[in-house]
Amino acid sequence: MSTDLSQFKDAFFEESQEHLTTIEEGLLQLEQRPGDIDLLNRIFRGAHSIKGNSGMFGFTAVSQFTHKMESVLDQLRSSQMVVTVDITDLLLQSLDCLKTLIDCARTGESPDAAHVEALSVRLEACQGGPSAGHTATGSAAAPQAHAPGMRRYTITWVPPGYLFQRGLDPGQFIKELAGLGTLTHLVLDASRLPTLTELDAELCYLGWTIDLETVKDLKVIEAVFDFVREDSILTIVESQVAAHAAHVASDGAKPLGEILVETGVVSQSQLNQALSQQKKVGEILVEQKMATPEQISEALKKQSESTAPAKKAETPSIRVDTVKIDRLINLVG
Amino acid sequence: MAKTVLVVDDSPTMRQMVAFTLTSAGYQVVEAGNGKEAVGKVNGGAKPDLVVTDLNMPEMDGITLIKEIRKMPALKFTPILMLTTEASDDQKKAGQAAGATGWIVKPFNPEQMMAVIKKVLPG
Repeated sequence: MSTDLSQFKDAFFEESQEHLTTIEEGLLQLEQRPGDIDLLNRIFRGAHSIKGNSGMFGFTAVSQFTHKMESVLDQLRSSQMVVTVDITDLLLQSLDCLKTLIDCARTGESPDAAHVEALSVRLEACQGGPSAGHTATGSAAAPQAHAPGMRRYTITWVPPGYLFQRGLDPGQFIKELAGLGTLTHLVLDASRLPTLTELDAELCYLGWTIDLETVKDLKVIEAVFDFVREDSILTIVESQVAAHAAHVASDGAKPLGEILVETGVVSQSQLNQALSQQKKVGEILVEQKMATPEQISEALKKQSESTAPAKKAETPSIRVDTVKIDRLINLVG
Repeated sequence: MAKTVLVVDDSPTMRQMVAFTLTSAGYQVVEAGNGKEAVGKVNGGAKPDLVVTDLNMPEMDGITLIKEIRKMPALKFTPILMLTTEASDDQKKAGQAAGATGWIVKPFNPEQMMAVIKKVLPG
């Protein structure tokens, strides 16, 4: 999507004139009413709007200079600084400079840089406290750093309890992660759920462990959690995707038949005979109603995925009761 | 059905830009010039799926608006994004404590704004 905001430039210049008038009238009244907080708030808002709007159009000279005026006004309205004749005089001079800067933004002319700089220095110098000098930062979007190769992140996330109360949906976070690559594993941790009588339906008690395969940088993953990072229990562990996928499928375990032969339960020929008439495990489990056809096909799907290269180093499995396994072994034997 | 976004800002230019970006992306927009007006729109029947609000406004500022919205049963869990002019931690924290979902830092371009909105508003 490319939405062009330049058509709003005229509206910006028009609105700025109104703010400039508000600031000017306010500063003039301020000399008579130095303690009028409402008046100070009005002047501050005028400067604040010009700063915010000018940045949107890339008029950085305007937004940077207005930011310095705004900082002084902010200290005045919060009584960190006292209104004096010197300060209102400086602000009126700065207002003239701001008008010129806005005119220059409109016409494309260059402002008198030395004059702007001199006033900027004075605006900074008149403020007290170290908090005065914070600078406007750019976008909130994380840089899309590119790292070579596929990485795997294991993300353990316990969101703050108030998640829903701030209009957040855990599903959105998981969806956003999924949009960055492939979620290979998603496990819900419901261990913090209290009993029903103690449960507050507006709180979030859940947590998740998520494996994500992506080429994205760690910063991009972290940015997903921007709005909750401070109050979450969040660990993001990065590891290269396992290259030893080959012996993953067998997981080091010997086939059942081999063990049965080794331990003398059956002979090799008996095993071969059994294997020749062997039905597929899935068919047997379904026949015995130990698993549903859906579960079996889901497991088969996972199995075929696990044979693809560079996948997770854990064999996907479905859980089957050990009693059922015993009965299955009896059937095979 | 198109999602509705309530856009609250005392600067008409900013409001128009945000509204234009949202309507271009297929959203419906309800505008308000300050917190008080926004509360009036909601009480008048507007049902936003998302609220995007400035913080410094006359009549009722953004922080108070966020607190008011969180008191409304219908909007208790509605995402609220605040427009902040710099990455000011104080403003962010005050907004979050009031119940804000997240923030969009000015200046932003339409793509950056839509990226944040997609974070909090289910497609």
